[in-house]
Amino acid sequence: MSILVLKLNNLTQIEIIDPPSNHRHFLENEYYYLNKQKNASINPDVRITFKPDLEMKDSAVIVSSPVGYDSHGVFFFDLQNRISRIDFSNFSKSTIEIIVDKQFNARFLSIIIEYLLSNLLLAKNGCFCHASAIKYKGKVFLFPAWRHVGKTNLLLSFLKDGAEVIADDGVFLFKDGTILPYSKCIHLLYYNFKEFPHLMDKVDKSTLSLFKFVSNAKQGIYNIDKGLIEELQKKITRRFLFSDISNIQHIPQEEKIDYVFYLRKRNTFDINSLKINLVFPSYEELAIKATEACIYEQNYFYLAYQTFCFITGTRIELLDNYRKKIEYIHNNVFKNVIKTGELVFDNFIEHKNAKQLIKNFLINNY
Amino acid sequence: MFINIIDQICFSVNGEYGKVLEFIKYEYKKNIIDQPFDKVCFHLDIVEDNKNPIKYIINPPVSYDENGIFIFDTNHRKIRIDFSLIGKDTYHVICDKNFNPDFIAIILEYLIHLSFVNKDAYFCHCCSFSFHNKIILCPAWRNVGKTNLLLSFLKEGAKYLADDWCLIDKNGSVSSLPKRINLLHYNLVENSDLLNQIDPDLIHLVEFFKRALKGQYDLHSDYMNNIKSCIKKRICIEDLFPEQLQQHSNSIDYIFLLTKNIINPERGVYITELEKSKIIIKINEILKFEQRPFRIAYNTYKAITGKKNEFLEKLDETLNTLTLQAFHNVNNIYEVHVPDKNSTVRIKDEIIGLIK
Repeated sequence: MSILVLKLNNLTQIEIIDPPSNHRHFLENEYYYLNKQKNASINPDVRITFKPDLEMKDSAVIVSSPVGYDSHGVFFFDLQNRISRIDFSNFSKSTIEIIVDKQFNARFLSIIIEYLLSNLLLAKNGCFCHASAIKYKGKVFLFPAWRHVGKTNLLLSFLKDGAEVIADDGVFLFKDGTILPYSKCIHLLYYNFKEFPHLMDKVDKSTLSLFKFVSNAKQGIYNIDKGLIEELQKKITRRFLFSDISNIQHIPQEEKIDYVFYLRKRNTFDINSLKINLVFPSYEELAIKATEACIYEQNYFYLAYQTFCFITGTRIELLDNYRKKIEYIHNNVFKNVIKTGELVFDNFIEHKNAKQLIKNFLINNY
Repeated sequence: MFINIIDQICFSVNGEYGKVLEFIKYEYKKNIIDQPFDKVCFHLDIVEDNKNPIKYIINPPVSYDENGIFIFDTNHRKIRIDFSLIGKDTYHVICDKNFNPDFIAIILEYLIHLSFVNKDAYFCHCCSFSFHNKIILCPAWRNVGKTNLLLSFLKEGAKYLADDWCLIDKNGSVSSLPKRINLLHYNLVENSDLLNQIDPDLIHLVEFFKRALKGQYDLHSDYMNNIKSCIKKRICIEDLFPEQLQQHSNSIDYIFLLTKNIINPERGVYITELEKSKIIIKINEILKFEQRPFRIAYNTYKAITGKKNEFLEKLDETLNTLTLQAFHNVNNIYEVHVPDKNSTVRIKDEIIGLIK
């Protein structure tokens, strides 16, 4: 038997038993703290096993994509209708069993693993935080944000100035103000490549030619339908190891946060403000915003839990109180860092100005 | 104009003529009043709001733009709800004049529901009727067969209380809501006889569709889906069953939760007892699921403004307490296991057998 163990600082332990090679490869590339082990433990928090031919049957009920249930309980399904079953009944009490189709989408499985880690950590005053994080001039910066606001571009911009990358898409955040990075990958999309074209040197030829085609199409060269261009643009997506894009290696470990800057798109509440602005609302307000960004990223998990409640007529206390707990952790952290602020953007292409605002703030105040 | 909902709450409707205003005038034609009898819960302002393209889609049908959060229909027409004042004071809802009427119906139901929560009552996703002087409530997740079951009981002489949403207060009394019932293709295929009275022309399409379902024309699935979407009808229940209305009841005698039987569908329809604690969880989860887009919209509002609405924050807790109180005296609670959509007659027979 071959076992991969994902162990976060003795807080949670996920065992992945006999992963098929595509899953093994993906997980090994994706996570720090992933070790090989020969023997299974008796009581890991989560045990993931694989089975062949676990497809969604016609008799199954689709609640709302990607969540459904059948006679065996709740499951997630991928675009090929392959499924991954999750049993909530033991949540945070004993081992949670996850049974996954061997051909289930590997990236989706890693997202399910993140849901589990995040929600198991709630019992230990920790939670997921949808944020990028860097170390810059010896200080740790956390940039929570809703998706597609500009986290990654700001991160890439700071890397150019010598920052170390800690995390791109999310970290685990603890009540005492520490963060734990877990993914060693960065996910780049069209608009990241557009702003940082040197990264195109690292992609394969077909992605490169698609990128060039879409860039030309956007300038109106080919007279193609806008919808088609958008669809093609979505295909330009690559996951890189941090080590592929940055020369400065960060050692994955717990870090204490010094500054939190929530990133947000501008709207009419800010009608009188500049196109890009650094403002300082209360830390409580920012905690609400960051909490919702975090919960939004885990919406499918909570929908699956809701389905479990409906089928069984039972509840899990820890999961019923997830929103309060996540906000409580964010509140505590934001209250105790050196400074919290909010960067209000019009557009994610303004990363240079955004970075400069933060730099100016630091020069003027610290 | 103002809309009166069973003399307990009212809201105003003002603005430009379009599909929305036309719909509201039909849907609530018996509930239009000139002056409010109480504080208005919300103002529905109908405007033109389709000029700006949708830039950032959060999770369809929720998005936001420079003017804040909105919900959009399939034609990208928008409706904006001011979440800051819900449950506290009169608030504004701004809607595009041609927003999808079926969708605005759902949104209005959600807002009316919230107004009732402030009066210790809530909406239960169920059909409800009185049969042999017993008040029966049949909650269900969507697409399990509530409406077909209701229609089959009405044909047996039952009195109508509710189709999609039923108003239940904390004392366990049940009230009918002013709304037309929304019959879709699977309702009309099974009950095409009802169309004789209200829309004889539609019968021809339904009959054609029935034959197509049997494979007679070998139609492409896209065409079949197109036809399905044409077979729908909103009907005032009194037009179908004029003498069979019951506006209110002080108690509930039976609850039959309809669930899809995916474990052993070969067993057919059967009924088991259900614990009270479980029905409360299940009913609340159905409600949460039905209101999921609004919950996402409110959460997006929080993410953008950093502000909370205490009434909405406590909503789950409040609903749980209200359901507990409302079902306190209900002792006959069952689960009906439904194998497929063609089980209406069996469900009805099983329920009648159990009541007798």
